[in-house]
Amino acid sequence: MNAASIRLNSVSKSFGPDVHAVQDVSLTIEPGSLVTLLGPSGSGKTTILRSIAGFEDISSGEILIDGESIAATPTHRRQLGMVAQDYALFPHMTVRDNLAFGIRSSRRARRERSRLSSGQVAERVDRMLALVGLDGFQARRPQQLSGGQKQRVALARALVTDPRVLLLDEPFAALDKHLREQLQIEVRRIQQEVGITTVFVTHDQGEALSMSDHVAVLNRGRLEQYATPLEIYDEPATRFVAEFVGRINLLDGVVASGNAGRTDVVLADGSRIALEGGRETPAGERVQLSVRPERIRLTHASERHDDGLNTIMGVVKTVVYLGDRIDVTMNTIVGEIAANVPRDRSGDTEFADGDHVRIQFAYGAGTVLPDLLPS
Amino acid sequence: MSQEMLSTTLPPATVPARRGRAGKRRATPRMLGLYAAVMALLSALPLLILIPVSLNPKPVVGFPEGGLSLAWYVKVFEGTNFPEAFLTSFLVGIVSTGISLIAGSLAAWGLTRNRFKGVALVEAFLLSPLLLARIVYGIAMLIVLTQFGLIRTTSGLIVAHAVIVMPYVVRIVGSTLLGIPKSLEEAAAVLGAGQVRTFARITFPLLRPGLIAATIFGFITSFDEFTMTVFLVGAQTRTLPVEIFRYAELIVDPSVAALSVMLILGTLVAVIVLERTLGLEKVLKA
Amino acid sequence: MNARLKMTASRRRLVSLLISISPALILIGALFLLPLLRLIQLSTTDAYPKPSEVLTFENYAEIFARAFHLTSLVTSLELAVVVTVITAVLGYPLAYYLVRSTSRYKALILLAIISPLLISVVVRSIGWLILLGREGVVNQLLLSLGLVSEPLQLLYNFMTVVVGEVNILMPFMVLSLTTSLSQIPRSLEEGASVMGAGAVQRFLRVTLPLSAPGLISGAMLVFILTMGSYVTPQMLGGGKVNVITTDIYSRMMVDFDWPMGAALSVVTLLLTLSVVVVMSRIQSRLMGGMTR
Repeated sequence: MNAASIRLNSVSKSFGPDVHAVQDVSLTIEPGSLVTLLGPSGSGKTTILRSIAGFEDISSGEILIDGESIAATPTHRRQLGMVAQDYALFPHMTVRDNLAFGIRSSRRARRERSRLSSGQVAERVDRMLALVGLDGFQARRPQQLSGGQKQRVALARALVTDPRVLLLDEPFAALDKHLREQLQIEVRRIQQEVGITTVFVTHDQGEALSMSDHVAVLNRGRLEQYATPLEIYDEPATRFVAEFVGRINLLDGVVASGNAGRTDVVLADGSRIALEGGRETPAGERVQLSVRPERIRLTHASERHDDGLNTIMGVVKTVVYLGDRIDVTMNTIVGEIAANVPRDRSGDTEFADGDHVRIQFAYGAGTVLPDLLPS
Repeated sequence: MSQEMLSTTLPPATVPARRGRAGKRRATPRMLGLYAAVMALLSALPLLILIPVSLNPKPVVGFPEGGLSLAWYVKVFEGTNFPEAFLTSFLVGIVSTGISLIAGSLAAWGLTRNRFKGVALVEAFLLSPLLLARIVYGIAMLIVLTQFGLIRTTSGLIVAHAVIVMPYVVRIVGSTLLGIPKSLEEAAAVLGAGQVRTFARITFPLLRPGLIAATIFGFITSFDEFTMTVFLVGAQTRTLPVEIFRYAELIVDPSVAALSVMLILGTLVAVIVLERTLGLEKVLKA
Repeated sequence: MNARLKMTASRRRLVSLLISISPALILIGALFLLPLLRLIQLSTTDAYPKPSEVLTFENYAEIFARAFHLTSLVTSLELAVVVTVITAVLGYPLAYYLVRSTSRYKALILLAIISPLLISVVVRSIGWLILLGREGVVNQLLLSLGLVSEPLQLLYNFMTVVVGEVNILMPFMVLSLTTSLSQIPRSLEEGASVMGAGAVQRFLRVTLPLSAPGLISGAMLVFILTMGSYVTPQMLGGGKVNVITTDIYSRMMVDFDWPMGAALSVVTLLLTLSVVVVMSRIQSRLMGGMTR
C-alpha cells in the first residue's frame, strides 16, 4: 500500500480581486488517515479538494504530497482517486470498463509499470468489485444501477488504480438518509482496510464527526480548527466551530479567576460558574461559556438536587419530544438555554411550558471561548 | 407533476391518448387535433403533390391519367444539368460542412469548457451569421469574391457555405457538450488519462450523436441554400437549388417534380438518422 | 525548467481555449465580418469597380427620394407584418396542440410542420407552382368539378406570396412557441380552473402571458426572415410582387449597379436590426415584469 502524506502550506486561492475562496490554510494529513474538510457552502472546502486534484490552481502557498510540490504535475500524473458528488461514472461504458479505464490509463501514465494482460485487468476489477460488494455487476451500465450502487462503483473505480490519495467530494449528498448512514460505515471500513490517505469534503457535521480521524472546519476560506472529532465537539476553538458542529448554548461572561485546571466565570446575573480543564484564560477577559444541550441535567425546581454542579434557574419555554429524548428550551436570566435530556418512564422528566426548572451541568461539561463577534 | 415541470421537450408521441369515461378528459380538445391535422396536411401538400405529378406518363403537370410511369425519373439523369448540379451541391456541402464541423466543434468545446468573461461575446460573434439576411451576406460575398477572383468558383461557394453552416454546428455541438458533465472529464484525468486519451475515450464517444446531427443538419443547410448562393454561382458551378430554380423559370414539367421527389426521399433518410441520434426536435431547437 | 513548471492548470486552459476558438474566429472574422464591412464601404461609393475617391451618401439619398425603391421597401414591410401576424395566429393553437397532445400522430404532424426547415424552399415552391398554376392541380380540380369555367389566376399576387411565406416560416413560430409553452406547468392551468376560471379566461390570464416570450421571439424570427426572403416572392410572385430582396437582386445582377445594391442591402440590414432591438426590448420588459 502506498499511503501518502499531504501538506498544505499557507494555501490561498482567489477568484478575481475580490473573491477569496481559500485564505492561508495550512494543515498536515497523516498517511492512511481520513481527514474531513467541513464547512458550509462557500467555506472553501471544495476549492481545496479541487486544488489537490489539480482542477484549480492555487493563488499562493503550496500543496505537497509525500513532501513534493504538485504544482507542476497535471491531474493525470498525480496518482489520485476521486469520488465526485455526481459519481461521474462514464455512461457509455459498463461497470467493468469504468474500472478498467483507470487501470489502463494509469498504466500509460506510469511507464515503469509492466503491461497488464486483459486477464490481470479483469482480475483486479473483480477483486475491487468484491471489496465494495458488487461482484456480479461487471456487465451493467451506470444507468442500470441504483444511487447506492453507483456510489460503490465510483469508489471501486477510484481505488482500483491503487492511488496515493483518495478524494471524496460530498459522495453521500445524493443518497437518502438510511442509505447514507449505511454507506458511511462501509466507506470508512474500506478506507481503513485499504489504508489510504483520504480527503473527504462535506457540509454535514454528523458525517464529519462519525467518519474522520481529523476534521478541518473551514469558514469563509479560513481554517477555524483542525483537530480530532472529539476535540472539535468538546472543545471548539471558535464560536463558529461551536455553533456549526452540533447545537450549543453560548453564555456571555467574564473570567473571575483562571488557575491551571480550573476557570471561574461570572455570568451576566452575577452567578458563578466553575469549569475544569480546557484552555487557560486570564482573569478579567470577556468570554463565552459554551455548553452542549445534552450535557445539561434538568430537574424541577421543587425537587431535591445534587450539589457540586453549576446551576442556573429557568422557566420552560418549549418542549419537543424526540422519542427517547426531549428537547427543552428555557428562559433564564442569562438568556435562552436549550437542553436535550433523556426521557424516562417514571414521569420525573415530564416538563411543561412554564415549569420552573433547575439547569445544571458538571464542571467539566462546558468550555470557555474567547468572546468574538458573531462570525 | 414535478416531471412535467422539469420537462422542456414535448412528451413522447407514443403515449396513447388519455381517454376519460365519456371522452371528456382528453388532453386536448378534438377540434384542436383536427385543426393540427389540417395544418399539417396543408404544409405537406406542396411536397405530396409532387409524387403523383412525377409519375405522370404525359408531359402534363397534373394527376396521371392512364397509368403511371417512371420515365421522368430517367429523364432527370438524361439531357438535364441536374446530375452535374447535384455533384456541385454535394461537393460544396461535404467540404463546407467538414470545415465548419472542425472549426465549429473546436469553438463549441472551447466555449462550453471555459467560462471566462468574454464567452457570451465570442459566442454572439460566432452565431451572428444566423441573424443576417442571406441575401445581404450573398451580396457582401459577391463583392469580396469578385475582388479575389473566386467568384463563380467552387472554392468561393465552399467558404461562403462554411460561414452559413458553422453557427449551426456551434449550437448543436455546444448543446451536446453542455449535456456532458464536466465531472466526467475530470474523473478521467484523476484516473490518469491525459487530455488526448480523455478526449478519445470519454468526450468524443459522448459527443458523437451531436457531431452526427451537426454534420447532417449542416449538410442539409448547405445543400438547400439558395438565396446567398444564387449570387455566387457561375454557369459551370450551379448548385442544385439554383439549377432547379433556373429550370423552373422556363418550364415546370414532371421531371423537376421527379427530381424533387428524389430529394425529399433523401431528406427523409437524413431525418430518420437525425431522429435516431440526437432527436430531431433537439437539433432544431439547439 | 521554470518555464515548464509554469504550465499550470489555468495556463493550460487558456492555451487550449485560444487554440480551440481561433479557427472559428478567423473564419467568421475574415469571411463574414470583413465582407460586411466591404459591403458598407461599397454602398458609400458612386461607381463600381472604379469609384471616385469621395465618400458619398447619394445612394441612400436616392433610395428615399425615389418612389420606386420605397414601394419595394413598403411592400416588404407589409408582407413581413402580414406574414408575422398570420403565422402567430395560426401557429399558436398548433404549438399548443404539439405540447399538450398525447396523440400517436403527433410526431407525423410535427414532421409535416417543420418540413420546410429540411427541404429546399425551391423544391417547395415548385410544389406550389404545380398546385396553383393556370393548368395546375387546383384549377384542374375546379374545372372538372364545374365550379369554374375559366382557370383562376391563383399565382403571382401578394396573397400567394403570403401563403408561401407562412408555410415556410411556420416552423420558426411553432418551435419557439413550443419551447415556451412546454415550460408552463400544467398545474398552473389546472390551478386556474380550480379557482373557477373559464377556458377563455384561463388562456388570457395564464397561458398567453406565460408564453409571450416565445411568441415574441417567434414573431421576431418570422419578421426578419420574411424581410430577407427572396425565393418565395420571386417564384410565387413571378415579378408582380416587388419586394426589397427582388429589388436588390435586379440592381445587382441585372443593372449591375453594385453601389446601389449594396446601399439597399445596408438599409435592409439596419431595418431588420432595429426590429430585433425593439422586439428584444419588449421581450426583456415582459420577462422583467414576470420576475418582479
